[in-house]
Amino acid sequence: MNREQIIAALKALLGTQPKLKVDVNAITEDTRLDQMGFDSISILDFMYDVESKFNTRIEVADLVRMEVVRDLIDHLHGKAVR
Amino acid sequence: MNPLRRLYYLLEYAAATSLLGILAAAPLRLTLAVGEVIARIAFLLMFKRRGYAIDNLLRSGLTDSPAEARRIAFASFRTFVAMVAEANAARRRITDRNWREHVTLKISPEAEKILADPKQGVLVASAHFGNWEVVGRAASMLKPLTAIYRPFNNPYLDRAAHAGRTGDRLRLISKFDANPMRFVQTLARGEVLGIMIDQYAGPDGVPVQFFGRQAWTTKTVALLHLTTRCPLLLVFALRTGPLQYELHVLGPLQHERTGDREKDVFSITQNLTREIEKIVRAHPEQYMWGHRRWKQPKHEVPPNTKQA
Repeated sequence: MNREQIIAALKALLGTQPKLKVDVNAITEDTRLDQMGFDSISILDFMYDVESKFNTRIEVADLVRMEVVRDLIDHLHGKAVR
Repeated sequence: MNPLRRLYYLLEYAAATSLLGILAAAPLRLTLAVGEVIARIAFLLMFKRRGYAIDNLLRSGLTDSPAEARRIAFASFRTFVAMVAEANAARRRITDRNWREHVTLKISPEAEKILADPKQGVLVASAHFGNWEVVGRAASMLKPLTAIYRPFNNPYLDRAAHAGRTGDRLRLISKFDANPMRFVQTLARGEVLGIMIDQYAGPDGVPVQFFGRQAWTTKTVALLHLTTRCPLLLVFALRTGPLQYELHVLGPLQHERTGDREKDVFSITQNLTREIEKIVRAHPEQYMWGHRRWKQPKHEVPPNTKQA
């Protein structure tokens, strides 16, 4: 999976988040994760779904370092995408 | 803020802090005697809470006798007042040096090892049972702890309560804090994150069975466990006497992730709630029965069904 495919898959997952306040189509690699309208529950829902979709595991230390969508893509691209 | 409301809040703040200040300095026996009187008055006057408690007890199946339900409900009120009084007293009397004279630890070697690891974040679920303020204080002696709490409506009282409840190793995070990563950050620091899981959580929660009835319960603990893989413990403090407690640490609870988020969340939350039910069945007088634990979201309430 290349970066474009990863971001497309992430957007598809984000589209299933009912509480998300941001326009999924407007999300880029520079979009900040904390400005996407997640609350403390929906961010966990999303991360669970990302791990399941990409068959990966995101460690807590990595999770707290992620600031923008690019960080998540880097993690998925570098570590786990099959 | 409306000036009348501000005045009311200031009067409430002055009355509460004065009373608690006097009681904190008074001998414990006097504090508990005053608490006994307050519990009797509260049980008499707080008819709505009293009604919830008696109704909850009758519906739980613990008793079918209204007199017995009333007895347990009153005992529950006494436990609550003792909890407030002793939590207030504990701030001065239970310290990092003497806490083991007040708290008997009931913990598995595995849980002890987890809590001893300074890098390991730990999830702790708890309930409104026994003395939950002491749970936080005692658990923070083992490992720094951050507890999620609901702020008081009265901002003056909230500031005072916040200052009185926190310490070097015990922090509070408002459940309304806007940072969605705040819970994960606590775990990443290798601390304990404490969450009460036995209050009505609304439609954002998960409907598990508690005493045979549907109870909407927070998903936060289950989701945090699933996403961070931090060990999950269930902790409660049984009151055994004045400023004396048994701190029970159950777990770590194990759960294999299935890939079905909703199913996993339900399973973990139901297991935790089942354990809480066992504890409450063994010591019903120490549970806070006077809240609407089994309230149903509006869209879930069948017509002509009374909410409890």
